[in-house]
Formats: sequence, structure tokens, C-alpha cells
Amino acid sequence: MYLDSRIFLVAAALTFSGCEEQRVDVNTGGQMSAGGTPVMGGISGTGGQPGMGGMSNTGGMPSMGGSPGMGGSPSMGGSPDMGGSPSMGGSPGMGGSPGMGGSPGMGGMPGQPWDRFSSLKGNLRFKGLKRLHNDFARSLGLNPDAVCREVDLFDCFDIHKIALGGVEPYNANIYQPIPGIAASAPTIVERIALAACGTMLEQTLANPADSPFPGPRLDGNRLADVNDPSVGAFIDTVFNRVLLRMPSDEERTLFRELYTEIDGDADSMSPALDWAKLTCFVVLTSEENLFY
Amino acid sequence: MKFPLKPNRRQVIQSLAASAAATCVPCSVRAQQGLDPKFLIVITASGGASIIDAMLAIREGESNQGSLINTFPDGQVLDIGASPFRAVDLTISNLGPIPHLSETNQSAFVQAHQNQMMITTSTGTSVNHVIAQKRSLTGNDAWSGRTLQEAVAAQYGAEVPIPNVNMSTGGYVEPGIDASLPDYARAEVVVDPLLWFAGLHGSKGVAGAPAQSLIEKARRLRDERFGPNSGFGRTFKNSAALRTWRARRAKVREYEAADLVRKANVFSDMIDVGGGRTLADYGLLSNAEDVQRVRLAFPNMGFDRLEQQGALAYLLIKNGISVTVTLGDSAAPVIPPNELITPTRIVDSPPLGFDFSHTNHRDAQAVMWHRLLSVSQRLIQLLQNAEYGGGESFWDRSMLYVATDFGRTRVRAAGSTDFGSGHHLNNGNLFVSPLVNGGRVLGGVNPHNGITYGFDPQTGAPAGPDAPEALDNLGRQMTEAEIFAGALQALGIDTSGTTLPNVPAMSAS
Repeated sequence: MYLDSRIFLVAAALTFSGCEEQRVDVNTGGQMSAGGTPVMGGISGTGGQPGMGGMSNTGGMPSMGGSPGMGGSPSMGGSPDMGGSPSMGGSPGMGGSPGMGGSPGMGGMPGQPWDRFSSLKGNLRFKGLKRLHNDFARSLGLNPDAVCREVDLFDCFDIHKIALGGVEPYNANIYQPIPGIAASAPTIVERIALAACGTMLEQTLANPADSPFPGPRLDGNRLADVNDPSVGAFIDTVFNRVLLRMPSDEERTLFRELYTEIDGDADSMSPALDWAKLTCFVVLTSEENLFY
Repeated sequence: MKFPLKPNRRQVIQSLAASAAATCVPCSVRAQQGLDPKFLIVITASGGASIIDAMLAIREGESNQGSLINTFPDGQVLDIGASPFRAVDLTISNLGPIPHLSETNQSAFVQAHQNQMMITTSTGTSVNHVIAQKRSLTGNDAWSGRTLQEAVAAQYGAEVPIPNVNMSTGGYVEPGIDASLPDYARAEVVVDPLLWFAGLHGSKGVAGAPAQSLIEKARRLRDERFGPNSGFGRTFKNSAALRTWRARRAKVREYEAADLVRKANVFSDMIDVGGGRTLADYGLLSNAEDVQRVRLAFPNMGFDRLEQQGALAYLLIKNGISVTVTLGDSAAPVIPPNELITPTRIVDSPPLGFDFSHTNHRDAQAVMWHRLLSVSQRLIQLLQNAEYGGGESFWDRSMLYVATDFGRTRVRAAGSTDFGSGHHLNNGNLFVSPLVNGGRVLGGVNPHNGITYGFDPQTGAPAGPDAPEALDNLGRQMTEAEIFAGALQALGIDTSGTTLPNVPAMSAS
């Protein structure tokens, strides 16, 4: 019975999870020090040194970067400079989240692990009400009360609290977040992001010197040059403040292409402003920002 | 390592069962999914609506314990025509120490709906509020922990945007635990019925939002290029949470195309939101005819949460947004605006809802039953006047179920009308629907102890105690699972393949 059970579970896993994705890498810690040694890649050392993914750079939220207990022994873990390069980003999860260690025998894939790594467990959680509220406010440099108000009156995070994973003990006896993701949550996140990005840009335009976001060089209501460094600086700042990492060159290109699309759309009366809002919107509503 | 290298027997069986369930959904069920919907409205009686304070009220003269158990003076218990239902209309002067002058009325509802009313007796399994609330919706996990609403949404909701909306509280909003339930059937919990509509559009009403076509470009960039190709997207491409998120996110365009933000809006376009601006100024428009109807039906919608829920429930069903809605008072009292408060009435409902019966049973039950029946009646009338199609109204395809935590204890100080009560497993439920065995009390109540007895699930014949005067003889007691099953079967839910009992007595013949 026991053997049969194992066969069944393994077969089920192969059937349902996309076999090509099962050739996963061990995490960064495993690669750097264990060098892809299969056995080492799958045991306790693979998680890397606590915090290694999140230190010394803008990337890698510390909590994702390998909290104590996720990682292995220092001798097996990666060196601190793993997450150090801005371009490497140290994006959340790279630094050794639980379960990233890989199975014995799967081996490492030296080179660019973040390009090939696919988490077996994919253990993510929606940030939920408080984290979203605080993160939106912090990343855009807004007063939390000013992030979003429906019809300029009601705090969006209050009236949509349950859909965003909050609680309402007083009026609805809901003491714990409702499990799962509400049907309206993605819609609500989008409208909050649009409102927040709009407010951020209003403040930036009104007081450029006080804004953490550098304004791109303009020509009327258009960008002066989509390839101007000031455009890249704006993209970088949005990434840096929202995702706590720098964009890759490919990502910068994507957002420059977005401008070209917007500029060619007759519905845009102010392409530069629309582009800035929507760049902020895309990053703010990205899965990378909404889950941890 | 926490790999489940040694799955236990239960895990293996559950895995096999889940796989089997996924592939073996009966064709009849799949064929019905999304077709010919029937609608389930659950109105919850948080705190415990006592059936012997309403349709099964007992006259003191009928009982050999009349002064010691919860009975009414004979003249206060009204018979309604030839129906088996009773009603109690009272004049209330206060709720315990709280001034509350009002006339409570049950007879109008019974008069209007007696032919479509059905009382089923039941005996629950918990007197803990939250647990009992949930069991009143799952039949004590009769169908793998699936709630009534989830079962209805699973069968009839595949083609509607948000099949299952739950505006209630506590255990009544807890999701079921059936892992095989389709994701779309899970409840959307709404605590702000008036403003929830705003969250049904990604940009409408957001000041300065770019044009929709531009937002679409941004969404495509995010969903097709930026997200999947980022390190995060690749690393977590197999995340179950992200799969759910993406499935939900894919619905955003559907909601916007269906204009749900307008259809679920209970406000007039011209309502002043301050600063001389109207909702229309924000682009948040509504359907004028719908708004007029709900505002006439629910004039206290501005402050009464149950009326707000009734209004949204109507819009959700009538506009094809949902197939099941749940509404119910919370523990918070309804406090009217200052201009409506008088020295003799400072609240419209007691704190704790029906559970205020601990302090003042009779009056709390009367006020709360009145609220519940009043809102139900208005909602039913709205649905009766809304055409579903083919000459049918929405109400012709609907069931209203009054879910209650449990009953209340029967004893009182001799002759007292001002007494408190505790929680009691034994009680009964009110159903109203053209789909149920209308005009019937299934089971009955023993007037000597106030305890209800059950019925034959096949025929509906009463199964009372052989000797009612022998108070320890209770007769047949109906289980939560039987009531759960009977309700689903009346709604045409395919329960074959489950272990649910067959209760044809609850269905319209």
C-alpha cells in the first residue's frame, strides 16, 4: 500500500504539473557553493545563508531572501554577493525560499539561475489589505490616506477591505480574512493602482523637487525622446521603489515600447502622462508586487 | 525536508477521490451547469430565530405547561386563513433597557405568502453561534462540506459573472470545505452593499484614469510580456495562488464588458457626493429604473444594512450577476440617523440581533422576525415583478431560506413575558418558494414542551411523539443533513452520487 501510494502521488505530480518544468534548478545558494552537486543541491544547504538574497542591493525582500531556517549552513550557502548586483536584482524568492532546494539528483544549473529556476511549491500569498496599503503608499511616496478614495470620499482600502483580504469584526463578525482570492480583488487592485499612480504623478508635477520620481524630459504633452536617459530613470525609479529591484534591459525596452503604442493611440490626449501612469500601474499591479 | 514521502492512507484516498471526482462529474450535472438557473436567497437569522415565536407559536391554553414554557396569550397567536401557519403581531415598548416603540408584524407576510411557505422542523448539532451558523448552510458537512449556496452556484452559476454573493456575517460567510468545488462557485463576501459596485470596474470612477483602450494595452503588456518573463513570473509560474489570481484577473474584462459597475449600483446618478459633484460626474452611472425600484422598496437603505443588502440582492439576481445571494443582520444594532431618533425609539434593531433574546427574548424575537420578514417580503415582491423570460418571473425560479443558528430555550418564569432565553438545538426553518411543498408545516410542535418533531422525508407525514404529554418523548427529529438535502432537491440540484438523503417531501409536487 505504501509503495503504491508513492507511485500514485509521483504519477499525479508528473501528470498535473507540466513535466518540462520539473527540471528545476536548485536555488542560488546551492549553485554557488555546491556547484550543482546533486546531493548538495537538494539538502539543507540549498537555501543559502539567511538573508543573502535581500542584502546589499535593492532587490530581494529580506523576508523572501532566505529567512533563518530556510537556508542551509553557511558553508553550503551562497556568498552574500549573490544578490548584490542591481541587474541581478535579487528578486523575491531567489534567495532561498522554502522548498526551492530541489530534489536530490536534479542538480544545479550554473549560470543564470534566475532565468531557469521554477519553484516546485510556488508557495505564494496575496499580500492582503494592510501590506498592500502600506506598500502602495510607501512605494509611491504617498500619505496612506491619499492612496485611493472612491468618489474622493471613501478610503478604497476601507470599503473594499474584505475583497483585499482584510477583516471586519465590528459590522460583519469577520475576524479572519476569507480564504482564497475574491472575485473582485483584481479589479479593485487595478482601480486602486490607477488612483494611486494618478495621485503620485499629480504630486510629482506639482512639486517635482519633492518627488522621489524623476520626471522624464517632455516635449509638450509627449516624451521628448523615448530613449532619453530621463525615461529610463523614471522606469528604474518605479521598479526600484515598487519591486525593490532594478529592471532588466529587456524590461526597460518593454516600457519604452508601451510609450510608442500609447503615443500612436488616438485615445491618448497626453501620451507622456498616460504612459507614466500606466507604467506605474503595470508595475504596481504586477504579480511580483502583489504576492510574496 | 518536508516532502510527503510517506503519504498516509487518508492523503492517498483523498487524492484518489479528488481525481475521480474531477473526471466523473455526471453528464447530467455538467449539462445543467449554467442552464436554466434557479436562484437561492438565504437570509440569515444570526443569534437564533425561534420558530415558536413565529409560525409555530403556541397558545398558552394549548399547553399543560403553558405558564412555564414560551407560550403566548391565546389571543395574540393569529391563525392565517386555513393555513397551518400562525403569526404573532406585538406592540413593543422597549428592548430590555433600550427604548424601542414599534409595532411588529408577522401576519402580513404569512397572509401574502402562505401558499409558498413551508416550515420544516429540525434539530441541530451545535449551540455555538459560529459553528451552528455554518452547519445551517452545510447540513453539518452533509455534502463534503459544501454550502447550500456553493452547491447552487456550482450547478447554475457557471455562466454568470459572480454566482455566489454573501453579505451576511460570522459563520454564515465562512466558505465550505469541499475541495472539489469549482472555483467560480465560491462566495464573494460583501460587507458594504452600497459601495461594492465600484469595485467591479478597473477604472470607471477613477479620476484622471487613462482611456480604456490605453489601459488594455498596459494590461496586455503586464499579463503577456512583463509578468510571465520576469524572474518572479518564471520562478513562480506553477504557483497555485498565481493560477487563481490569473483566473480571477481574466474576469476583469468580462465584468467591465457586462457593465456590472452600473448594474450593481443602487445610487441615482444625480446623488450629491459632496462639493457639488454627482456620481455621474465620476462616470459612475446606474440603471435609473432599477434604482427607482429599490429605493421605493427599501427607503431606509441609507442607514439600514439589511435594506441595503435587500436592494443589492435584487440587482444581483435580476441583472443576471448572481444565482445565489445571502443577506442578514449583523450583531451591530441598526441606529437611524439623528432626525429619526425619538425618545421612545433610539434603535431600529437590538444589539446582537436575535441573540438579544438572552436579555429580552420575546421582544427581541418579535423585532428581529419583523425585520427579517419585512425585508424578505419586499425582495420577493421585487422579484415577482421582474420578468425572467418566457412568462416567468425571477421569483418563480427562486427559493428564500431563513437560516438560523439554532432555536432558543423554552422555559420562562411562570407567566412572564419579560424573560431571557439560551441556545437550544431544537427549532424549525422557514422556506418560501414556488419550488417547495408550499402551505405545509412538515412536522410540528409539541405544545406541552415547545419541542418540534419531525416528518417522514418521503411523504411529509408528521412523526410526532406517541404521547405528547410524556415530555421526554420527542418523536422523530430531523437532521441538518435532511433539511440541507431537501432544500437542494427542491432547487433541482443533482445530488446523485452523494450520500445525501432523499427528501422529496420538501419539493413542490
